Parts: sequence; structure tokens; C-alpha cells
Amino acid sequence: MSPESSLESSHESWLGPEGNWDSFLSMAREAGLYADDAHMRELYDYIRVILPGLRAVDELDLTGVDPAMLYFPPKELLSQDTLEAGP
Amino acid sequence: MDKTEICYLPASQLSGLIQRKEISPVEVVEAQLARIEATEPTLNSFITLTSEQALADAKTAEEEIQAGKYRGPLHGIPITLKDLYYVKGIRNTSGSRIFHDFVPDFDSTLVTKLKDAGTIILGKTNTHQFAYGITGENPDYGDMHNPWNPERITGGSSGGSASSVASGQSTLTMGSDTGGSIRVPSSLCGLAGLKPTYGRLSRYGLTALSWSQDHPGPLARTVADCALLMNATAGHDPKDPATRLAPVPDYTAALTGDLKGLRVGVPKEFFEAPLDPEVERAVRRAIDVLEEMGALVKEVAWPMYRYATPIATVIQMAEATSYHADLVRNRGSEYATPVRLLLEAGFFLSAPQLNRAQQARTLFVNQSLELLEDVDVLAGPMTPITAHTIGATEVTVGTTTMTTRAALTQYTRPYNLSGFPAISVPCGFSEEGLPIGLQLGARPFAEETLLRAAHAYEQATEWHKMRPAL
Repeated sequence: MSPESSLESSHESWLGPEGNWDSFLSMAREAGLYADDAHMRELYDYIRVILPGLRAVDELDLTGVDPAMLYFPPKELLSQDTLEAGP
Repeated sequence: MDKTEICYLPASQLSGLIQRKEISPVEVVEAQLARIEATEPTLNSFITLTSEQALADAKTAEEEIQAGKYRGPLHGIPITLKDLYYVKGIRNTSGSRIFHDFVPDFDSTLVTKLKDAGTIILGKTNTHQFAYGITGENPDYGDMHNPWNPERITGGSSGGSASSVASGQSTLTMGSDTGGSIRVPSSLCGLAGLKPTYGRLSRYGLTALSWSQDHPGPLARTVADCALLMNATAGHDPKDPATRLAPVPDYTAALTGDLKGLRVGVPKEFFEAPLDPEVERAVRRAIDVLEEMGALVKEVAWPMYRYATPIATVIQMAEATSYHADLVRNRGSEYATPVRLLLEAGFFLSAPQLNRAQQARTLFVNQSLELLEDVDVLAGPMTPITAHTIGATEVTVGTTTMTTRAALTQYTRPYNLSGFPAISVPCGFSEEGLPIGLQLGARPFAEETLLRAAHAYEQATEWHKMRPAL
């Protein structure tokens, strides 16, 4: 199954900490999420579907790869050539 | 000239009539306000209409032009803006009742540029809540309706923008694209829509969704009109640290109609994914047209394409949840449920998971750059399906049943993740009369190449001349 199709379609193999209702509820409280029981149940079911598909990223060998940088150095520290360069 | 004809004239033609004083901006705005009055009950394109201000601005434009102070090809041309572009003094809801009464006290950089160019703002268009959705359904301000079949979605999140231009309510519009939100509604509504390179247009004064994947850009009935909007809006902005100092070319100069020698790559992975046979036929035929016009077409491999969605989704969820963290904690019940769930799910991502996604993004960008050394343009379907029925949550694509979100973003994510530019251009209609789009992508800052290719294809075909029966 491709990551695209598995993204929201399967959670059978997901064994993350959120797979347990009590640990899910604990994490939700830590995050400051409080809602009625019906909504928390809906959220629990939702993340059990959506999060496992994202773990396709773990298939990649990322050894020695720097993360894409979101930090923008102050422009006064950069040369004009650097500023004009593409991404 | 018939008022409906005025409404459907592209800016590239309308501007000549206005410059030669053969038509007044006031006549144009009056025609479009009448069109809005007639079609808005069906389409629901707008959250806020600014009719009085638009008429006043049109009168000012008319006086300036009469006095010989013609500003250029967008002077007196009507435009709509997705309701996340800040306009001083006009409320900005971002598609949510939470911000129903929020009125910015400054213009976004792009609005300043569009005002300087002389455009006339008709109003703020409907959007999926906080731009966090791909269908154009909105419980707070009502669903957007596709002009080609009002029972179908417009696509989103810039759905109101797309329907406003596709229906002749406006000549031009500006949207934003974090996971396909310009290109998908363009495709489903039969428009040209360009997601420029990340850093080409300023994000300052636009409601954020995912800082590193948000791209403002134009939607229009023709590629030439997208080029006109790029001329007016592209460039460095000291208020947006992501924008580049790279010079802004004259994008209309790229519209030569010549495709000879253009190297077009067709990723085989696009056609291995779930794809409606009717869409596939139209897209393959469009690629044949490119080849008949002199392009050098070949199949290519893009192995990391399949990872674009999970990588981009991790980053988008983390960034969107960061932006909305306090609001969704405190006022979660005021969000549309699908948006709320996505935002809350972001709290369950870990820091290492986000960092791994950013590492994977580096790999993805590097492989994409290598691929684009061998070809100038990548071509394929814009969406695997045409517009589905409003309210549907799953669709069957070929033999695969999948969520509407997974289907509609299947081909969009690679270009949000990489920040590379991509354009959607109409390439046919389904048997049900719904538009089909061709997507072209290119290397960073190669918008001229994209516009040249899309324009040449457009001019060789008749799809952009079709109008919905409204």
C-alpha cells in the first residue's frame, strides 16, 4: 500500500503510545485539550487513523541528512550574492 | 458590449479597452456587481462584498485614466481576494466565525501592490476554514458551489476565489496554496492557477496556515492574466523574510507560444497512483499536444514522489497546530469538526518526528532538483478526479476508495513541500461537463517557463473559452 493511500485508511499495525486510550487521554490533557467525552473519543479514533500513515517517513534512510532549515539568518549578516541565490 | 461579455473578458483584453477609453472601469464594475447579484445565491463565492467601495474606486480609476494617468494593464480591473488577505478597514474572517468581526488596520503587502497597480477590489471570497481543507465546504459561511455544477465542490481552500472568476463575477482573483489550494479549485473550476515559487510573493499580512508551505498566487481565466498578476505582485518584501531579492522578470514577455525544444518529463508514478480513466485520457492527450507543438516529451522516474504526502503532512500539521494552539484549546468547539480534528491531532506529533520530516524534505528537494536538471517541466494530472458532490467524504478513483482529501491532494503536495512552482491549466471536460486540469511544475523561480508552456498549450486548445451555463 502506498503512503498516500495508507495515510488515512489503515491503523491496524499502529502500536504507538496513543494506541492506548489512557495514554492518549493523558497526552491530550498534557497538551491542554479538554472536551466532552464524545469529542475525545472522536479525536482518539481520528489520530489512530491519520498518524500511522505519516510513519512512512521512517522508511527513508536519513543518515547524515540535515533538516530543511526554517531559520532565516539576519540579512545584514549575509552577502548580496547569498541573498540573491535561489533556495 | 453585452454585460455578460464584459464580465468574461480577460484582463489582457479588458485593459486595452480601458486604456483606449472604449470602456470605463465603472461600466465593468457595474456589470460584475450585477453578475454577482444574479449568481451569488447559487455560488456563495463571497464572505464580504465591498460594492460601494468598489464603485468609488472605479470612479477614481476612470477619472485618473481620463486625466492621462494610466497606471498599467491592471488599472481599473476588478479583482477578488481570498478572505485571508488583509485589507485595511475590511473584515478578514479567514473563513471562520471566530474572526467574524476582525478588521485589519493595515494592508498586506500584496494588497498594497494590487492597489498601486490600480485594481478594483470587489470583495473577500469564501474559503475553507483557515484554508485548512481542500473541498471548499464551510459550515460558518456556507459551502462554495462549482459554477459548472452547483451540486459539486469548487475545490479549496480558495474555492470562492475560483467560483468568482469562473462565473464572471470577477476578472481576477488571488488565492493561497499550502496543499493545493490554488491549483485544485483552478482545476475543478476550469481556470489557470499558479502556485509560484516559495519566496517569490510576500506572505506578509496573510493569515498563516503552514509557514513553510504557504504560497500566495493568482487564479484567472487565462494564463496571460496570471502573468499580469505576477508582474504586479512578485518580488522581495522586507516584511517577509522568506522572499528573495532575485529580480522580477516581465512574465508576459515569456508568453511566446513557442514550445520547440522544451524538455517535458512525465513522472511514471503519477499514472501508477489511483486515477480516473477519463482524467487520464484528457491529460495524456494534453501531453500529446505539447509534443505535437515541438516539446521533447519523455517518461521520467520520481521515486520520492510517494513520500511527499506524509512528509508534507507532518510539517503542515505541526506548523498549523503551533499557529492555532491557544485558539483550538480554548475555542475548539467553534471550529468545523474536520479542521478541529486536524489541528488537535497535531499535538500528538513528536519533535523527532517533525525533525525527521524536515530531513526527508531535504532529500525530497535534492532529488527533485536532480530530476529537473534533465527536464524543464514536469507534466501530469492536477487532480485524479473531477469535482465530487458536496458533502462526500470518500471517493472511488478507478478501483480505489479513498478520502476526498487524499484524492484531491495526491498531485499537489510535492510542490508545496519543495516550494517549486506549479501551474494548473484546463485540458478538457468529463462526460458530465466538469473541467479537468493539467499540472505543470518546474525548478525554483522558473515561473516564466511554466507560463510559457501553459500559455502555448492554452492557445492551441479551446478549453479556456468554455463558460458554465449559469
